[in-house]
Amino acid sequence: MSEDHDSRISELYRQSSQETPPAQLDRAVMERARKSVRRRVYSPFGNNWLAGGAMVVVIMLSVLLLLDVPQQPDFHAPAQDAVAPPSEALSETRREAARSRALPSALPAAAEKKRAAPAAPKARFDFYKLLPEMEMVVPEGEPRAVMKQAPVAETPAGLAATVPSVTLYLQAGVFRDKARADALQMELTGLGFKCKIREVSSDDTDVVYHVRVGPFADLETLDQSRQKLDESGVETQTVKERK
Amino acid sequence: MVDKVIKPGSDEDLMLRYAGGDLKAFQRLYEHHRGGLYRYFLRQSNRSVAEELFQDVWARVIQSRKRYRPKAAFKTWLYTLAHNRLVDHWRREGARPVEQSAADGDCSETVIPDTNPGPQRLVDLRDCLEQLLQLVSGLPDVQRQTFLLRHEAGMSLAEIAEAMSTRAETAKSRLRYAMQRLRAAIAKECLEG
Repeated sequence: MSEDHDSRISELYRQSSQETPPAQLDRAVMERARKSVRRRVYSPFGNNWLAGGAMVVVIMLSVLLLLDVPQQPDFHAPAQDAVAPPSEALSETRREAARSRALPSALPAAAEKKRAAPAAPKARFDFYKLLPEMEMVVPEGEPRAVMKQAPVAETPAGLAATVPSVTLYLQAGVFRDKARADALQMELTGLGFKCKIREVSSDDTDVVYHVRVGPFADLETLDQSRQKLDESGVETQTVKERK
Repeated sequence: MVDKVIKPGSDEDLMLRYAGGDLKAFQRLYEHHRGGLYRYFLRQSNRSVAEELFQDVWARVIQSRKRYRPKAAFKTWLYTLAHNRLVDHWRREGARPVEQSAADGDCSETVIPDTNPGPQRLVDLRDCLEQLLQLVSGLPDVQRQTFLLRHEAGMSLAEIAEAMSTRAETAKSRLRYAMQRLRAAIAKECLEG
């Protein structure tokens, strides 16, 4: 009997519930959808900006590797060019700064040799003058940093061991209601983000649920995700978790 | 979680096509859900709030188009956004939806009595329909949402449970309680059809 009544109620509800959005609302939504599609920016890599970015990085690395050949002309030799470009003085300042950052005892023999060697044949290409700005002297055994002037030699070897390693996340929300945390997790998962809920309790009665996207291996990927979440209307903040 | 197999012409397929720039796919998708989503909000708020929330949810869908992954049914995702947006709205307003509706000119008399009000003379179908809409608006939050997800979105209990982040058994109980309340409160003549 109650099932019949339920069916009747469902039928009545279907008959009664007939409202539709007003025309201006339809237009507003469709206009927004249209604008979003039009807003696409032309790129030779199409929509795959990641591939485009990777290609640029590969090209930059290739150029730098080509420049870093072992038997290159000695760009550390005193400049014999009659007309040194104005940037030369600045280059020298940077070179000095790099030298002072490096520990003298750890200077690679090859680098010392380079500096002490008599003037090699004059550089034929202008871009060799730029090379010292890009090069950084690092102690032997350390990886060479060619992309940026990360002061590898500056960081004491023991420091890394004393700093606790952390994992980076983006926190999208904190809730007392587990269901709401679950709902946000579901929403973010639907958007393609990997996320988790962390239960945090100060005591037995006070439990909150942190919804976090991640973990991220580095700040670059974290920033990319933050931007995407922001575009989706999800505000986040960066948090670190100890491993 | 493994991505679902996408059937051509399904909501998930349409959303992915829209992500690729196909505006007509969005138009079809919108057509599928515009009525249900609009009424989902309309039963739980006044008209201007319903319009605002409706627009917000579609804006979220549009913004997220390139990152959409069909890990769940599109409908489930859409109504999860809607549910979250609605709960967020209530939280910001600090108002209970029933109180809000009762205070609102568009939906007066939405609070239903706990017990059957007794026989009423309802002369025609229109009275039954009007009464039912008021009764639905007056259901407790979770029961009303469950009822609407079932009747406006046509969702299964499992899908309702997913959208409301609860268990299927809980969704089933809520729907049962909602139907019980409606049965008890609506005029007997309406049930006789």
